Amino acid sequence: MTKRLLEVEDLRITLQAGSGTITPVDGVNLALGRGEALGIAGESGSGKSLTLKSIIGLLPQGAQVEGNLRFALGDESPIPYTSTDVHGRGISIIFQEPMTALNPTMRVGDLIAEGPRIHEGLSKTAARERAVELMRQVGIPAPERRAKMWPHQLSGGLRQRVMIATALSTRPKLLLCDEPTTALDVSIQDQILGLLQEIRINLGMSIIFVSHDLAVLGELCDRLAIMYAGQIVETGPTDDVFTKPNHPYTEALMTSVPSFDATSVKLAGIEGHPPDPRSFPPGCRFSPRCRYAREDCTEADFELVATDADRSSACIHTEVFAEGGR
Amino acid sequence: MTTPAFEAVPDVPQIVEASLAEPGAWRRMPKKVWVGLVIVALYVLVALLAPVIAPYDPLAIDTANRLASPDSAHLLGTDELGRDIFSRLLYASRVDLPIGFLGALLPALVGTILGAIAGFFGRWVDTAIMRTADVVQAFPAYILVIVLVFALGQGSGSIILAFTVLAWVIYARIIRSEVLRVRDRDYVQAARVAGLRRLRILRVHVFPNVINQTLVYLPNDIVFATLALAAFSFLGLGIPPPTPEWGAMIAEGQPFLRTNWWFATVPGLVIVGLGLGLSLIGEGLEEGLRA
Repeated sequence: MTKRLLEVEDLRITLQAGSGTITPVDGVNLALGRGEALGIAGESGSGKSLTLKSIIGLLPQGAQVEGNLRFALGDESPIPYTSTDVHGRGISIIFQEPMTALNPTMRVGDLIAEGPRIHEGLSKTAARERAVELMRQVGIPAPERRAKMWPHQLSGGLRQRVMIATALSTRPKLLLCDEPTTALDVSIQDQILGLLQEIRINLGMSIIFVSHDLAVLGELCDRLAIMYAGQIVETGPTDDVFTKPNHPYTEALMTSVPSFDATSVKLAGIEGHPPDPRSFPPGCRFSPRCRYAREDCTEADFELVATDADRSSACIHTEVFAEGGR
Repeated sequence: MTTPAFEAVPDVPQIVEASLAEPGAWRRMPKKVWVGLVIVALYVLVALLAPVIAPYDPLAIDTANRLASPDSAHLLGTDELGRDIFSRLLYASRVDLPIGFLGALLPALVGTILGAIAGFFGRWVDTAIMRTADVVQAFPAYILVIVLVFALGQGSGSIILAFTVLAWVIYARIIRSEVLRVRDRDYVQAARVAGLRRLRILRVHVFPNVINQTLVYLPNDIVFATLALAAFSFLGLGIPPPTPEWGAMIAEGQPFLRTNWWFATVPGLVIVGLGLGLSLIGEGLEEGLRA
């Protein structure tokens, strides 16, 4: 395995909700190598966005975080950090909604130039040149002219590129992506994914990409982590997870995605609703919706067990899949 | 599907988050803003040119010619001391306008800054500022001003200070709630991730996006401050005589309403005119910035 960049160990996030507390992220472990792209998939409310935001300290006020986060700012192995250690260097983030992710009262060139001006002590003109160069790098046509524009004068795709340029302006080693393509047209989605892939290869950057869209993750990510009800239920190389899921939830996600080539597989939604975080079901949290559920499923302790050299699953009945239960 | 408890529901996006900093923002403003600006500009012009336009010294007493009716010599007649009412009206704008404007601008400045700090930093800073605001607001407004003016002595300085002590609360509340709305926006979070210092984030990324609310409210508050000044002068707590002041002139003219109705009425109309101009600006700004 490549050298580690980020380690998340036993991450647990608790929030105040009404009278009680909820634990929308409950015991998440992640490891990310340098230059690696990891996808986190899951439904709304699975805790994937919170997991991502906890890495950079953007949790809502009152959120309590337990567990260990370690990041490698230099060439050494990952060490524990606080969010201020990585703000402005090391880790950047891009968001879902390009409408609200850019300050409407700043020209986009000034916005992109802000990081370099402050962190690299560049002069106003030097920072502006760097902003234009970054805009060119993320494929914005006529960057000199567009640098003087306001966010509302740009299209959604261009705004997303501006956001990426802003994120890159602090020269991060890790780019966190919080569904950055969800709000875009499919054709623009493709362009942005292509851009992220290109940046990642050119700059040797790592990416964690959070999405509910498996097709998007499949295009960009080396490895996948499938989240359900605050826990990671399966991890593995993208191709392996796609071709042979090791957890019933992953399989259910696969079959609920329309595909052009597999006409034989019936498109099926997942029965029921994601569980309420105020009362997660006992044992395996997916068991009430699982078509393979057995009696012992509701009693099993949660544990992500290695099934292969580089794969793991939380299902206690993986033999169902090994026998080709699909 | 989404449970609000743990995945933030995005705000309903506004169609345009207009800012006066944007080019063309002024061109989108409705006509009433311009009408209001012209009216207020006229008042300001009159105040500046009062010594040139005024036919008489506003303090010159002419007891032989008391309570004269309007004629070619005295456009609006004279008061009970024989002073030219027209000249006094003109000169009064040099008292009422600065106090009205400063009496609104200072609270706006103080309140906007305190509200932004309270909303942005939260925790004990927020508690300290907003509980102080509660205390100020718990007093009956006019009583508080009266007490302060008594304590500090009559005069424009104490009135402006009293208004500031009182009126910052409204701005603080408006701006605090706006900051709370903007504080968790993605672009503010992105600025934090970019490693900017908090004061810079507040100044560059939060403040310009909330300041509109102050601008919309400010003209209305100038009306309030001018009216309040007039009211205090009417009660004899404002600007001490013989300095001409609109509210005091209304009070002086009141006993003669039956015979010399214009004496008290015209200063009243002058105040209404200013109020109209300022209200048009405030209302127009609100429409223009929400459009």
